[in-house]
Amino acid sequence: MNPTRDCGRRIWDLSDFLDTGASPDAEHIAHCPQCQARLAGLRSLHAAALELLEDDVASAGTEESGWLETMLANLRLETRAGRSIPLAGDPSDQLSETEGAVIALVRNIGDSLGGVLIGRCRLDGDVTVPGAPVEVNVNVSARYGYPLPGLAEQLREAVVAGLLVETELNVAAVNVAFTDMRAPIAEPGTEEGGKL
Amino acid sequence: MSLEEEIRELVLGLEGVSIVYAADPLWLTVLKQVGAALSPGDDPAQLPFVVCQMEDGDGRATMRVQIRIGSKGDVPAPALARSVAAAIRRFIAAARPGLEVVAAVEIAAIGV
Repeated sequence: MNPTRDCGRRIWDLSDFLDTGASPDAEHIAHCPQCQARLAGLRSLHAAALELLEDDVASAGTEESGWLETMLANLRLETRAGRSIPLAGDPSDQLSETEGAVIALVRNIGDSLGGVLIGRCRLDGDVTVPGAPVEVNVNVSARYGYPLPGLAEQLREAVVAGLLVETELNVAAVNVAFTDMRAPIAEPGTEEGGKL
Repeated sequence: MSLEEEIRELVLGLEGVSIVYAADPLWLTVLKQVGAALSPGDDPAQLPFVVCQMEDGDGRATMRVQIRIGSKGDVPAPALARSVAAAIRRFIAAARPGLEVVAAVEIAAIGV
């Protein structure tokens, strides 16, 4: 990862911007891909937090806050530009997409599926070499009540399909690890979300 | 309008392009702003979106055009990068005939 590609903005600065809509560096934030990706991640996190609040997160125990902390800790790292992934083109051109953009794509694909929130996400392999095999490793927080094998297969298929369209990576595998379970959504008329 | 601004407008008008990002990382932008503040003249440093640099290419005049973009997601990112590079080469060929062009196109965000 090239540290010079990181714009240096902090997550809490962007969180303030998200809350207030104002920042002395609003122009930078509007034009910086890293900041935009971090804002998208923060929005997903806020949505997840609201969902948890609806499920009475206060009574859910420490495991719930654990995955939230994990997601927040990985957010900063994963939304950096990262490595440069070459794209085929005219020999005189230099075409590429950033690793951060691809990881954000994987996250968006996962988060768009019902019952899934992507936590840690890594591209393992030399993405800077065209055709080199790459494994996509994702940690997933799943909502209780969704069949995990089916969910994993659905996620793998969606990620592979997305990467096939939006990248030229040689995806050797998409490895899904369920690392957290969230309480089910409370049914109307029930006291607790966990009762099925 | 400068060549860089014209290229930015051209790229923003292409199908599938949602945004043209600042070409420089923040640290370099700050450095340029400080440099502009210390140098004579009242013009502040502009936020560069497209960087055009002349290079020596085996005795032939070569222009390197560097740009970072975000895709809307309706055009696959690799195809979008190629179409943007081709559009830049066509534009430079018309505006500055005889120049060799190296288009450095980076997709910095997908589906934004």
